[in-house]
Amino acid sequence: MGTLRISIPGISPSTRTVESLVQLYGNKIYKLAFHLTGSSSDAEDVVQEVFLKLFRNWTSVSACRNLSAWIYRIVTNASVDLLRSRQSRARREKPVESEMMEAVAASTPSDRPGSRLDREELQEKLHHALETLPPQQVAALMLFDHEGLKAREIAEIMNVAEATVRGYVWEARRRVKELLKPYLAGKTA
Amino acid sequence: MSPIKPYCEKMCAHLDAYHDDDLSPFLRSVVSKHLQSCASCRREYTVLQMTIEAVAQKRSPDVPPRLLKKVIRDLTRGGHGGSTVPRELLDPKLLDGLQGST
Repeated sequence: MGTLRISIPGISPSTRTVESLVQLYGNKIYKLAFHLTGSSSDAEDVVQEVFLKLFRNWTSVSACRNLSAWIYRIVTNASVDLLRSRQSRARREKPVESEMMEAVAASTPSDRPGSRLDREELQEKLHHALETLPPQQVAALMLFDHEGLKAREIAEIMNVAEATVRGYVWEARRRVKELLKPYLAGKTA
Repeated sequence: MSPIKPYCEKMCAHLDAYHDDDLSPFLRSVVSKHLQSCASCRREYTVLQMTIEAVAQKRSPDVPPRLLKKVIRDLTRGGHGGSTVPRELLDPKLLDGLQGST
């Protein structure tokens, strides 16, 4: 993770203000960013960026009546930007979760119950499948199928038409389904 | 594996919208009837449901405590005065829609 220099001109939030907001929202923001980027270190960058923007825009955020939507927007934009830049890099960073999954895969089946092994395998395959998608499709898919937001809400967050959101979600599902199919098809019999 | 029939292909194109309850009542009943009679499309729909379920259940680690400490340290560096947190921002209900448990 790169170092992020934080400087907030013209505002100096109290220590209690910062502590309260970071403790209250930090984990939720991190988890959402992790789902969107698939990377622990990218999620850490997003957390820092979100809080930086929160306090930079303190006046408007203070008056905000829908903080959830504001956070979704900032996290999504930051995550999509990071995914784009990551995809353009020649060498990709190895996500922590992927390493964990490799360790699980390396263990013998007798180490753990079959159902848990299945879940671990599926998570690993899903993780890799998501890595192959364009960033906006990942964002739309995760916001729709994981976070449970409506297409209209996602359209506002991503600043695109509602039909575009459905197109992203359905195309993302189609691609993930094709990649998971060999694994899932055996379980439908 | 036998090639997919043209009618099945048409039905499968509607499976996402069918799952999301985003079809007209008429089309919904057409797809529903077809799924009852076609094992191949039913399998396709089951795989779609399993895919969506896998995405819904995707897990994530908890935020590292050191990161929260760093953010607090960085943001409070250089002074302890300033504005206080608006009470409404500390209302967890504001984040009802923001998932974070998985």
